[in-house]
Amino acid sequence: MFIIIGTIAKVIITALHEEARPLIEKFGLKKAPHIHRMALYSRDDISLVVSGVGKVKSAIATTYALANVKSPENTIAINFGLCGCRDTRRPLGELVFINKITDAATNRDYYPEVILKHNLPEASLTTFDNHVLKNRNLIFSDMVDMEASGFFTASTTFIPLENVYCLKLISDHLEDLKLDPHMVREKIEACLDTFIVFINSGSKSTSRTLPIAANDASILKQLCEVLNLTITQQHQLRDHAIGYMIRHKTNLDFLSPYFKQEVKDKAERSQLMKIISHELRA
Amino acid sequence: MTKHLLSRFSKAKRIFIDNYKDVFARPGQHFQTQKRSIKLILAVKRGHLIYQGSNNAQDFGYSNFHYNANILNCVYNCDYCYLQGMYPSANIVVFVNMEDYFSATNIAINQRTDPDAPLYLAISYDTDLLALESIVPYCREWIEYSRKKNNLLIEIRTKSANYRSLNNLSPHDQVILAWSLAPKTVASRYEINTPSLERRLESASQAIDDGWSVRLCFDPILLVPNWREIYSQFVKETFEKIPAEKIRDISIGTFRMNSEYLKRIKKQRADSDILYFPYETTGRVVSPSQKIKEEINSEISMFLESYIDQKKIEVWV
Repeated sequence: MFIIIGTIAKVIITALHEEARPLIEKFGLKKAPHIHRMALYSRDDISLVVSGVGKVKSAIATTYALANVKSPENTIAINFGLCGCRDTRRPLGELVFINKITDAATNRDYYPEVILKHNLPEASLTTFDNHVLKNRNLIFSDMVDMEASGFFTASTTFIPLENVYCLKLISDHLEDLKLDPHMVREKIEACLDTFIVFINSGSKSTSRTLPIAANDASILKQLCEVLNLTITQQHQLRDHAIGYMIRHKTNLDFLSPYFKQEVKDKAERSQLMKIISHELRA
Repeated sequence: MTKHLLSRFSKAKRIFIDNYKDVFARPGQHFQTQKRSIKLILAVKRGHLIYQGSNNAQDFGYSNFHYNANILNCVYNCDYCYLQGMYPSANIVVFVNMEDYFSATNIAINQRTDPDAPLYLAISYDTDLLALESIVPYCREWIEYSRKKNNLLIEIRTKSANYRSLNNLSPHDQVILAWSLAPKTVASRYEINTPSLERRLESASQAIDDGWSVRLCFDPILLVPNWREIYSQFVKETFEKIPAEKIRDISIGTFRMNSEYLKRIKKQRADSDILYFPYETTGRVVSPSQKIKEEINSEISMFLESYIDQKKIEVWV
């Protein structure tokens, strides 16, 4: 099966090695050498971090994976893992898209963006700090886990809201079961194709386009440096430049000669800014 | 209303929220991205339900100018729309507590500052109520409510061609149906998802035939290349379809927007020249220069005056 398309970076966060292993094998991920504090696996544009159990660990792992991404707009993050389900009518092994996350400790709700068209059933989920086995009547969401709220808070700090997904696999109906690695592998392998279809769709649908082409952005950056423009002037220049490009359907190459201009003082800078602005507002 | 909407969208996935702002006002949303998959939020509105009219909107000489917002956001996606900068989200919020809106309006009628004039209430500014009428029948409710009120005049502004959803109501004087119109080329380029000029004119024409008071809004007039020819032809086309003598009045106005809203919109999109025109900022309002505004207003007024009395033309300056 063709696994991944495009140049969208995909970051997957799982809590357990048992959850990660089938993905590591399917995507051919390799453990990053020299990184000992975090179990990071990657290949091409896919990274996977095994966070450990709990929302704090999940938030740390997510932060580690996303804090320095080159292009946040072109990065998607997925929290993938097992969850318990309150409703015994829902089948074990079902992969669900989480559309509401409640943090049980703070009672705070988080709402993942549902822009992507998908075929998965949707559900709400509460993240608990401890295992929840009893008092199922006190749980108001469909699912329970121990990571999602930490993952969601951390990932939306670094990448756009609509690029953050939480996919959970129903592993139990809140019974006191010991996790069976074989069962986990079996269930995850059974939903892998669905998971791959989902992340490929997510890769296609990333949305926030950069307003300026790389070459034009570079021209503006150089101009700001050469002319030593103030922050306000930089914003004005960008604004005028975008307007010029849209109206004239062209690029900013004509600004390149200004790189050679020498600016001795504030007055000269303002004068030159005035000339450039005049040209761009034409 | 809640039951009506839940049964109308019986297959929709439902997410329960405590407060609409938890979703609508959450940080990090992207307006144009959400326009690709708009969600419907049902909520109860608390606090202020009626507001003083904005300086960026015409009051048509009515001293007690107010507006309200039963619905936030619009099904259309016009490039020049201020909602993109005003709201953090493109999702549509329907406030279901209509009785509270009616109560607030009763109070506003009783407490209006100029007792000699009616309360002039624009009910379709931050949305397009008629476009949503087949789903949320609020125009109908307001029309029936206002029928019983002597000191109330409501304006329902729309770009929709959905007049048919009201055509079984008997018209009355306390309602103005106002169609926003634009030349074909302008509408197709800058007014995404809106009905064509022909369909809007057909709707307006039908409303006039049925006896409703109809206003035409040539607003905003955009400074597109060859704007004179385009708008002159547009005025001609409009009055080929609409009997000018039966129009209540016409409003004209150039593009204007709160400068903060425009700044926010520009941070999110760089695909529309209309947002990046070299405008001038006066106070907190961005618009073409006074000279350009005067030129446009005078030319368009001149086109219109061949069809309609000057006194019926309201110009935003």
